[in-house]
Amino acid sequence: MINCPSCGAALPVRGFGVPYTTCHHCQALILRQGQSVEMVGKVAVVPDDISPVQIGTRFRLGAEDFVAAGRVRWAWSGGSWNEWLLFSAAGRSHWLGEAMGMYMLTAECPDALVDPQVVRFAQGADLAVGQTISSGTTRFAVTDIKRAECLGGEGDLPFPAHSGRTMTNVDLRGPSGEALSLQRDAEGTSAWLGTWHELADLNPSSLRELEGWSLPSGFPGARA
Amino acid sequence: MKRVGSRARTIECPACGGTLEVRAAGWSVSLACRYCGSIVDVSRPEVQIITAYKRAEASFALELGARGELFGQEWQVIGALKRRDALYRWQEFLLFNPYLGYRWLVVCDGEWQFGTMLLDRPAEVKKGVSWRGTVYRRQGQPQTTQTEFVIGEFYWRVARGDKAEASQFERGDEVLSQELVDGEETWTQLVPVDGDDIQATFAPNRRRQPRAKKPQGALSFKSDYGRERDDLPMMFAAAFGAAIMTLLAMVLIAGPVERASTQISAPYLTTLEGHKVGTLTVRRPWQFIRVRAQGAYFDNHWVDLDYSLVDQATGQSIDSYGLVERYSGRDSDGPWTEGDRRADTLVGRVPAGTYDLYVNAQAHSWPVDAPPPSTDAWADAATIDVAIEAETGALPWGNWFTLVVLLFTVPCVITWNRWKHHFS
Amino acid sequence: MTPRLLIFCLWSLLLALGTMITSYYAWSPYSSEERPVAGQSYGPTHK
Repeated sequence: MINCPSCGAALPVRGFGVPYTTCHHCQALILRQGQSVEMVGKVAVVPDDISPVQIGTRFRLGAEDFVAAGRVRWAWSGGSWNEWLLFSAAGRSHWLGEAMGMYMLTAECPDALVDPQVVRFAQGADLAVGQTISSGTTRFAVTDIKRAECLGGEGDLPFPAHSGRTMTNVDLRGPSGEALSLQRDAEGTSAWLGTWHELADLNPSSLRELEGWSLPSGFPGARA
Repeated sequence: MKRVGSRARTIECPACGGTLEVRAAGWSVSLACRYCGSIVDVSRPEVQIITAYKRAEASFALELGARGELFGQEWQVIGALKRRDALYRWQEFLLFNPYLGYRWLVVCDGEWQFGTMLLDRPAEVKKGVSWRGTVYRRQGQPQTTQTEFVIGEFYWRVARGDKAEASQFERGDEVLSQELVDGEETWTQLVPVDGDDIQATFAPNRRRQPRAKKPQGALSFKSDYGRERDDLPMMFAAAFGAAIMTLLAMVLIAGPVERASTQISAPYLTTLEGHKVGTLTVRRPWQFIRVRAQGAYFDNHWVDLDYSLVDQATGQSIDSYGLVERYSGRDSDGPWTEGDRRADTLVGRVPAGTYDLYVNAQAHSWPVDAPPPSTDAWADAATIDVAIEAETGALPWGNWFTLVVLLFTVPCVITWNRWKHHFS
Repeated sequence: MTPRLLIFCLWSLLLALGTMITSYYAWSPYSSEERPVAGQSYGPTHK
């Protein structure tokens, strides 16, 4: 058990080994290193949204279990979206992108970082829509490039989710619908490979209760 | 640790001050005010006006905020669009459930469809697309559709006048709809839903359902979005049927055929005057008379033929003419020939009566100022023989061919457009 | 039956009727009219 260095509130320890966490009482952004706890800033309150996902929501896809540990909200010129930080039972981190009522579950894909064009992108060069890159044996085409700005965050996070933090997000599509996204920010570039799902496909439990809505049939815990 | 989501967020329309609910807060990007129609950016906490309008249109088949159950799941109407293409107007409703995402209801001409966006892209195959192992056939040509009016909230930047290129693929009553906007494509699966079910569950106002616009003028020949069966074979069949039917009717109308014929020798320099071909009787109120002249072999000459049909009862004459001609020569491109030794003359509007047909004929050589070389055996001939045959009850073939061209133009143009589209 | 097929059938019917009526009155735009003025347009147009 640790306490918020700013307000003293008890902070849940989820034990995923991510360096940053936020205090849900005072919005302090806290850096944990071993036993030491340091407040490094404040995060903006994530604007209230309709998302049925919350910190603690569990998912199961195939034989793998995931739990949501944190969230970052990003905005770009065409809207905004949530990226939920999920941890698998094996301790691997995943991002669950939530947009248009659909969900993209991604896992880190270091193979894609080897492509020379991605290497140049990581060094600050631009990619263009339509350009193709390869990852392993798959060729991906760039479909969309967004400059995103952080609107806020909550829970455990791998980076300090200050509002105003920016990143470049490049979406790519593979021949059979595989979705690859490249994310470049001040700290570096990462590649994430995933597929789109509807929420029900992810067998979610501990979803947020939404006033006026009941869990639809097909969801764990739904009324028969 | 459970948090209960708050009630729908409410905002004040920056244009008219009306209170608006944002039902999919955080997911919705733009909201069109139900009171004034103004479009507002709701993607950020600070609400911004994008386009101000003065008036909202209220005539939608479903109310914003209406809830209903479809296929066992609850949905709320959060957005409504009026769209049109060249021929149809229809309404689309964005349905929302925070746990299930978005769906669509589309109503055109009283027919309802339930739409689900595809997460995987159908593959192109011959004559259509294949999706999850099933082939859907392309229906008609891609149509440009335009958004005329919007109210409610949407997960993209919506605007009046938004244009999309839409194509439809069908299998039975299931449709896959492709929409292209700025090169980005979205696919939606549409399945029919019973209008009564919609009525029961969302309680729509029936009077407000859009009706199909009546086809007008040239627009009616454009294919119609969403409901075009392949009518092209039927068009060819109709054109063919009309052509054959008309030909049979023309034969019947043309009436009894009487013939008269003669052989003349057309002289040079002088005119063969008033040679009687024969007597013909027109037994219908009106008939065509065709006079056919066929010259014997000759070259580099022409023969003027003047016909007179003289009514035996009144002495009135109907005049007409024919020309048989044939020329040949040799130039840098090699030998050439020109002209026809045969001449058909169709005399129309001949009223009922008995007629004597006379012909005047005069032969000429060409070129007039340079007589043909003496090797030409016919240059010295004194006359040119022409056989003349006249008949009543002739068919006006020109009329029929014009009909055929006018009939087949439409299906041929459609075929051409499809073909052009297919290979472009 | 699509609206444009209906329109096309009406168009075909109209054309067919028109052609039959012109047949009845023995009228044709292609029937021979007055002969051109003599001395004009004889001889080959070949160049």
